[in-house]
Amino acid sequence: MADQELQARLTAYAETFAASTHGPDPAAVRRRGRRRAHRRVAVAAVAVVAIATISAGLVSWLPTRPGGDGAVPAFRPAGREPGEPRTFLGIGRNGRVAVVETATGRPRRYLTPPLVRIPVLDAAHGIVYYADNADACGNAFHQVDVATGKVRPFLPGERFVEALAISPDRTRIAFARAVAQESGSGDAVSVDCHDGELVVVDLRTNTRRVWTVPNSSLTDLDWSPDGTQLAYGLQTRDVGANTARAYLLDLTTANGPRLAGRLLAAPGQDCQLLPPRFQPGSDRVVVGSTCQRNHDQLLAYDRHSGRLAGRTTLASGQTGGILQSIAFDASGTHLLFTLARRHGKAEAWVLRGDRAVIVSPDCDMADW
Amino acid sequence: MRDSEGFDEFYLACYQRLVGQVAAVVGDLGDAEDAVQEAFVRASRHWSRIRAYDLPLAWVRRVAFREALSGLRRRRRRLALLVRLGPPPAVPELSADGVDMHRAMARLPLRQRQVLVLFYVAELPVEDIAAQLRVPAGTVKSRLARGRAALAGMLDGRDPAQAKETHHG
Repeated sequence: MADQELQARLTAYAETFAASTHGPDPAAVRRRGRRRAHRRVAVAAVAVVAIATISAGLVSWLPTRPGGDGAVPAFRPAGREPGEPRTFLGIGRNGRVAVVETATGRPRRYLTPPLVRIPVLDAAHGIVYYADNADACGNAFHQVDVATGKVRPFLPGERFVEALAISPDRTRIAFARAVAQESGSGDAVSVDCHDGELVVVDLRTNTRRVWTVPNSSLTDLDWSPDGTQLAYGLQTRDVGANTARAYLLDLTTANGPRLAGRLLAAPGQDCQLLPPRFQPGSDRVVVGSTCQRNHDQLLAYDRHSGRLAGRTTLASGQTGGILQSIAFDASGTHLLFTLARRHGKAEAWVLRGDRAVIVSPDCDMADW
Repeated sequence: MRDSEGFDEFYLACYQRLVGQVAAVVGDLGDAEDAVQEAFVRASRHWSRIRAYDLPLAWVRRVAFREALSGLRRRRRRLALLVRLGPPPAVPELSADGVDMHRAMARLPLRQRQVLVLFYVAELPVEDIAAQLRVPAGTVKSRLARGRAALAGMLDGRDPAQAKETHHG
């Protein structure tokens, strides 16, 4: 194909978009610029979401509020007496972490600013780790004490942190960060993200192991219950192709500097992966797959061989929604998953054995 | 001179063209509009300084491209939700030729798409593209050559060589 023809076709393609857009009035653009210049602190849009309470192994849900999508990060471990006030932490898109009293079902206190990433909960110690939304390639992490609400920086000096996980015995932290380059100044700072890095910090010796994966982003991390493996999601930074994949890294044998885990799931072009989750008390790691054309699935892999060990396809009552998040309870006998439906509705389901039970009805956030 | 002197004219002259260029790279009109509007909002804040540049458009274009690509990465994790549950995206009616181009561009690596659009659509010389992307001119030429060959091949109906499936990375 001649150069001129290629140029003509590419230009015509771009002009199709150009002809279809009508931007806001320039005065409106200037007003936005002025407002931003005067803004000192981002005003948080309160959007509490999907606040769950757990009692004696049962899960009940409160309706979500506008802006939430029903994503739930983790179960609160059992161990308290039924009826005793307890807390649960929930977050959704642009949501905040809230402390909820089971007795009243009402948020008692908001702990975080509006968040995009799902926070990490250390339930045993009542600490939530959350990322602020400051940077384009990952974030800075903070920790908040649930009891006091006190916030402290976590991993000070680290920016562009993309995912975080604390080992079950709390002796190690695994986090993924982006290798990024900033340019510009003030409000016009732009960030280019390049490679991804996986860092494991041993808190006892303050030593670090670092693995690098070129031109990719590590999206999620999860420790195996025995602390010998890490499951992670990976996407290349080329936006044209959907390359979501899940991998398993054996920390006892993995040598740096190049990250080379064992491939678990590669769901294909039209699919997205949910963060891999190890099942407590078993040898399985579960990955959620949500696809445009096929039913969403929960895929279970043997964590030693990496082979597919089981598959649950969401049944007809569930296929109208999109799988949003998965989490095991502390014993590994229940799997909670949430579905987002049309018009901001969300549902939570519990899977036990091969039977899934809905635990929250559709909730129309417009009615809140 | 008012701080906003000349901004409106600059915005009206460049907005649509810039949206077209960004959309040709990212393949989505909505994302391109968001990114370009964000770039102009930033430009309006610093307009008294930016208008003194030789090419204010180059500054806005650089910010818009980076904003689009950074935003894409953040939004990509919700792509399925947006595609399946969100309102229909504001996608213009594409001709058969446009559809072919859309598909072909989507199969190219992002960096090649950027260079192709900046070279053929924005008609920037290689040196300016290199300055905008902050890469050596030789890198731009290399991406241009590969992108051109791959795009032409796909538009001519030849299947591009499939990338080798590696363990990852």
